[in-house]
Formats: sequence, C-alpha cells, structure tokens
Amino acid sequence: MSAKGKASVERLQAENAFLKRGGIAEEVGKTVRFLVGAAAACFVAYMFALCADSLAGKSTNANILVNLAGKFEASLLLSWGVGVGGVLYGRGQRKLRKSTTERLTQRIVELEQGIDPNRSSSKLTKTGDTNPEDR
Amino acid sequence: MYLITSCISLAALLWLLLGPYNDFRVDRLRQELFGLRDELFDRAASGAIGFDSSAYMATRQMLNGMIRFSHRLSFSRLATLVLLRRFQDPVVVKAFDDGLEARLMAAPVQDRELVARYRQIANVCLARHVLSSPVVIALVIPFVLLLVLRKLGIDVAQRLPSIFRSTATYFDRFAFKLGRAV
Repeated sequence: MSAKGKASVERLQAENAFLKRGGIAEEVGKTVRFLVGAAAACFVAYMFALCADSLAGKSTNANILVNLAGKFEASLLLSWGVGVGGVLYGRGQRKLRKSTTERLTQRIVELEQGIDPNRSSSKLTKTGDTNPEDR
Repeated sequence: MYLITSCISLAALLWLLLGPYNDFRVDRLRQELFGLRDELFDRAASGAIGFDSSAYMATRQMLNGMIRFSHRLSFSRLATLVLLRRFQDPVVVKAFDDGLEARLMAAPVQDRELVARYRQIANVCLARHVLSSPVVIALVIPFVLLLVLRKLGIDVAQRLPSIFRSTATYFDRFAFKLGRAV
C-alpha cells in the first residue's frame, strides 16, 4: 500500500474510532441523565410515602388535601408565592429573550454574510434552541 | 402539614435543578460561545485576521460545533470520552487530531496566536459549564476536595480559617489590580 493510501486508512480508522467513542459517551450520558432523574423521582416518592405513613395514625381528617388547604398559613403562602412567582418571572424573561433572538438573528446573519459570504453557522434554530435533528 | 409542604418543596427544588437550571446552563454556555464567535468575527472584519485564514475558519468551525452540541456536554459524557481515549491506540488518536491541528498549523504564526486565545477562553467556558452541573456540585466536588486534602495531609477544620483568609487576601489584591487597570 502506498504511503498516501496508508495515511487515509489511518485517518478513516481514527474517524471511526472517534465516532465509536462519541456513541458510547452519548449512551453513557443518556443513561446517567435518566438514572439521576429516576433517582430524584424515587427519592421524592419515598419521602411522600414516609409522609403519608407518619400522617396515617395521627390525622383524623381523611382528606389530606382538604386538611392541607385549610391549614395554609400566611407565611407559607408568601414563600410559595415568591417561589412560584420567581419561576414564572424566569419563564417570562426566557420567552422575551427568545423572541428578541428570533427578531435579531436573521438581520445579523444577512449583515455578516455581506462581509463574509462563506460564513459558517451553528445550525441552531432561529430562537437559539437546539436543532431538533441534534437532540 | 409541614411534612407534606416540605415534600412538595423538595420535589419543586429537584425539578428546578434538573430541568430549568440545566436549560439555563446550556443557554449561558451558548451565549458565552456566541460572544466569543462574534468577537472573533469583529477581529476578522477589522483586518486582524483574514476570513479565509485556515486558523480563523477552523476556530469558527470549532466554536460552531461547541454551540451546536452544548446540550450534550456533561460530566459523564466528558469523563467517558477521556477514559475511552486513554485506551485508544495513540497512533489512531493522533491521526484524527491532525484534522484541526493541521488546519491551524497551515496558518501564519500571528493568526495562530490570535485564535489561541479564543480556544483557551472557549475551553474555560466548557470547563465551567461541566463543573456547574448540579450532580457534579453535589457529588464530585466535595468528594474530590476531601480526597485531595486528605492526600495532602491537611486537617480541613483546623486550616479552614487561614485558607479563607489567604483566599480573601488574594481576591483583594486581584480586585486592587483590576481597579487600577483603567
């Protein structure tokens, strides 16, 4: 085999090995992500079960939700309000940022392509989200 | 009553950490990388480096790849890649690595020097992204820190006040220097 042929075989082998490594890492990452999510869900479910267990013998009111609604204190309501409000505020800001990104992206692309016609792209969506093909 | 609200709070906190916080981390990394890419574009537009320079094109391509796959970057994926790379034949690894390096080496020295800074900053951004993962913060960092301290034979409880003092002094000096550099 010629030196050039050997080099291209080596390059192909290297690319193949890289893709394999990437594939394995991808699967490991997905599995870890799933396990973390599942562990969190199990932990919360376990805590709820412990809760229900400890309340079972002590509460005379059969309906926990009614009991819960009746005993809501002002301070508790306030802290929940702050938490939920914070999340809603964050969501609103995120939505606003995405709409601004969408509005400006096309303009920036056109202006930059005027300077560099071979401009390469990150292939994200217009709102800056992950391309559905890459998920 | 408090048990139930605590459980609901715990569930909400875990949802925040594993859902919106992770999305925010990805968006933050992309924002930083877009900023770097824009800065590099501006440098090219000002004539500091050519748009057709192989160093510029390779660096932009690298940044595009990082932006595109930011959502897949995690500690577990990175650790697996590094681990697998160690067991790979070095010749095969080098043959692949030549792709980026060869394009950078084909560019003039001043172009290579200019893009090196952007590559370094991008790597710092990636490292910060990986280390800010809630799983890493919760599990890995305290474990590694304790292991390192134990290896060094340092009694954490005894040394903590002096460690804090020296770190604070360092930051004070750093802030002083930053304040002076107008």
